[in-house]
Amino acid sequence: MKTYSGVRGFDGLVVQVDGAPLSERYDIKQFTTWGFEWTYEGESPQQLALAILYDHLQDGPRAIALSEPFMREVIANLDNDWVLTSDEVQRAIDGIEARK
Amino acid sequence: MPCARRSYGRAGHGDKHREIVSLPTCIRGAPRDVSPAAEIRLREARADELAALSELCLRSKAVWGYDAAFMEACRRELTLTGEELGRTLVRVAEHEGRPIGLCQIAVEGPNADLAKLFVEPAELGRGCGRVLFHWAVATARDAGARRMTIDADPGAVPFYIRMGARSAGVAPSGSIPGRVLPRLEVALCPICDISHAGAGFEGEQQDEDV
Repeated sequence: MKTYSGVRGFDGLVVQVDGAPLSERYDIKQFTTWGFEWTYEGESPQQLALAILYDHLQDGPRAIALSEPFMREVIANLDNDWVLTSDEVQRAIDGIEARK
Repeated sequence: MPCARRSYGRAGHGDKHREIVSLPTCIRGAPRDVSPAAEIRLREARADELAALSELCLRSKAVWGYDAAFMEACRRELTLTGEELGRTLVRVAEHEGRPIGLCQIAVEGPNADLAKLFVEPAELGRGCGRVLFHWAVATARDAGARRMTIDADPGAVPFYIRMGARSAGVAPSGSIPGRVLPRLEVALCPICDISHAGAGFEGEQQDEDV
């Protein structure tokens, strides 16, 4: 099980997966030039959604398709410092896909 | 929705100093232990302290880890001017005679804009932001506004949500071309129950805008 985490502090934003930096995955799709963000709905939060989804699913088209609802339901509601497990990511995906 | 764990503790200067204790909360804005609100007094801003207050805004903004170039780009927007004192409403929060925060609102007809709400970094989490937010809500409502708009720093969003604000899209940054900020709104009309505004969990108070 992987663990995704984000911290907003004096060092700026730090987003990691299992303790290593999480790539923005601009190669999959670039929603923004401003990197990751969270706590609201927007392009940078969608980039974070995509990065987490791609890392979890290893499926670009599916990660892109899920990135907007995942951003709205999960990323926009994160607190400044957060931790998500891959189980939690999968449960969110299951919920989104069940409502399609 | 998955469970987002709130992590207590802030990144220090270097990973070795970072202490994160994750507690499952599932929702943003879970309560946390805070010190009792310090005795905070609000007063009008004085023209002879605008430079010092502007520096307070910059120090407060910097807690989010922005680099020097970003902070310099924000300087103009975070600088309080004498002209603004005549055109907007500004309150300074004092503790033991020392400014520890400030709030600035502009009211135009039914619309109020929360232009600045900044707290001295060392005073975060002690209730100053909540006190200033209460002042902003009450003052804007008394001035006839029906809604108050907040173009917030992303890091300040959880605080404003706890204070009763609602997400209202995004807005362009006034300092950084191309950057967008989360926009929030607070309903102020008397028939809209805003008694909840500002009555949320005490938590980290932080700045807004830019």
